[in-house]
Amino acid sequence: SKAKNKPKLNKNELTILVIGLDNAGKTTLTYALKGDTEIDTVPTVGFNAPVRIERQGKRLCFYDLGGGARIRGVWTKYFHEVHGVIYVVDAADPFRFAESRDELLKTVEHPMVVGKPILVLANKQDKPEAVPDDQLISELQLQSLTLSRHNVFQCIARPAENSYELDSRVSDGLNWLVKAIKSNLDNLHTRMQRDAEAFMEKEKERKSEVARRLAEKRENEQKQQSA
Amino acid sequence: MGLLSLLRKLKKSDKEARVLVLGLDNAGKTTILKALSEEDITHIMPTQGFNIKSIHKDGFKLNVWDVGGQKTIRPYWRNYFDNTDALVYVVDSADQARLEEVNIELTKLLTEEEKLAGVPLLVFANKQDLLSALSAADISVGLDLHSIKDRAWQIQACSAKKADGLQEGMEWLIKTVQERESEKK
Ligand SMILES: Nc1nc2c(ncn2[C@@H]2O[C@H](COP(=O)(O)OP(=O)(O)OP(=O)(O)O)[C@@H](O)[C@H]2O)c(=O)[nH]1
Ligand SMILES: Nc1nc2c(ncn2[C@@H]2O[C@H](COP(=O)(O)OP(=O)(O)OP(=O)(O)O)[C@@H](O)[C@H]2O)c(=O)[nH]1
Ligand SMILES: [Mg+2]
Ligand SMILES: [Mg+2]
Repeated sequence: SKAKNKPKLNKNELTILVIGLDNAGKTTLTYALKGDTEIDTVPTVGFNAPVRIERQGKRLCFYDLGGGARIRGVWTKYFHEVHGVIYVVDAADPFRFAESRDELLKTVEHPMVVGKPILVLANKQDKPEAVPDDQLISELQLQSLTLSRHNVFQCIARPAENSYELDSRVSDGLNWLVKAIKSNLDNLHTRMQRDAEAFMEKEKERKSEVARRLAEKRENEQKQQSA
Repeated sequence: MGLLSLLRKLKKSDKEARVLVLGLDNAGKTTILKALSEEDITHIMPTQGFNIKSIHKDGFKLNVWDVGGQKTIRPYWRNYFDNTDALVYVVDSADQARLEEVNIELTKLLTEEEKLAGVPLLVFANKQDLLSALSAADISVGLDLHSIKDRAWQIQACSAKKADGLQEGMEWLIKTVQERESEKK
C-alpha cells in the first residue's frame, strides 16, 4: 500500500549535514563535538558514523560527508532529510574560496535546501593566514544570503589548537543554528516529509532506468554473440 | 607506508581488530590481501574456503579474514560474522554487469545481519587499472551507499595489481575502528 512506503520522519531528532570542501575540517569538527579532542583524521570519501549530542532539549544528529571533488556528488542524496546545514570553510586557504563559494551557492539554491538554516564556520582561525571575516564574507558572497537563515562564525575546529577544548564559538554557532531550526519546525517537517517522498520517487525512477539500460545491454550482447 | 607502520599508529589499548573481507567471486579480495602483505600476486586461485592473515605488533593483532565469494560459498559468509570490527567489501569496478548483484548481496549483509550492525564499511572499488573500470563515485551510486546511515562507510578506488589505494583504505579503516573503540569506553 502507499502508506507503507512513506518515508518515516524522526521528529525527535534534528539532523544536521556537515559539508564543505575536502580538508576544511568537517571530521575534526564532528569528532570534537562528541568530545574526541585527540584523534587525527584521514580524508573522508564517504560518510562517517552519525555523531549524536543533546542541545537545547533536542537530540542532534550530525552527518559528516566527504568533501573531495569526486565524492561531493553524494551530498545531494542527503539534502531531503536534514533540518539544517553546517558549511565548513578553511579560512586560511584563500586559493580555494572560489571553489568553496560555488559549492555553497549550489547547496543553498538546491530545491531541498533552499530556505533551511545554514551555519557557515570560518575554520582554522589559529592559522596566521586566516583572512578577516569581511573578506571571507565578500569572497564567498555571503552578503547575498538572507540573514535570518544564514550566519557566519569564526572558529578553531581542531581542539589541539584550542587547549584541547571545543571552541566556544562552535557552541555559539550551533546554538544559533538549533534556534533557527526550532523557530520553524512544523513547517520544516511538513516540507521534509514532502521532499523525502519526492526523493524516494526519483530514486525509484533512477533505479528502473539503470535496470532498463542493463537489460538492453545484455540483449545487445546476446544478439552479438548469436550473430 | 606498510601495513605494519599503520598498525604501529594504533593506540596500545586497542589490542585486536578483526577485519572481514567479502565480495563477489573474482572481485580481487585475495589479491588485495596478498598485495597488502607484499606477497606475490601472480598465481592466485579462487578461494574455496577462507584465508586468514594475522599480523602481530606491540601486543596488537589485526586478523584479516578473506572468504571465498562464489555463489555456492556465500551462504557460509555468516559463519565469519562474530566480533567483526570492520567490514571490507571488494568490488570489481570493471564488471558493470554484476553491479546489481553486488548491490543485492551488500544490502542483504548490511540490513539483515544483526552481528554486523554498526560495523564500519570500507568498499574497495578495485581494478582501477582496467580501462573499463567505473569510478569510485559511480560505484557508490550504483551500490546506493548513500542509503547507509547506521554506520561509517568509505569508498576507496584501488588497484590490487598496482598496489594503488590499498594503504589509504586501510588507514581509514584503522582510524575508524580506533574511533569506534574510544567511543565504547
Ligand atoms: N590548524 C588547524 N587545522 C585544522 C583545524 N581543523 C581541522 N584542521 C586540520 O585540517 C585537516 C583536515 O581536517 P578534516 O577534519 O579531516 O577535514 P574534512 O573537512 O573532514 O576533509 P574531507 O574528509 O576530505 O572532506 C586535518 O589535518 C586537520 O587536523 C583547525 O581549526 N586548525
Ligand atoms: N586488472 C586487475 N586484475 C585484478 C586486480 N585485482 C585482482 N585481479 C584479478 O582478478 C582475478 C580474481 O582475483 P582474486 O583475488 O582471486 O579474487 P577473489 O575476490 O579473491 O575471488 P574468490 O576467491 O573467488 O572470491 C585474478 O585473476 C586477479 O589477478 C586488479 O586490481 N586489477
Ligand atoms: Mg572528513
Ligand atoms: Mg579469493
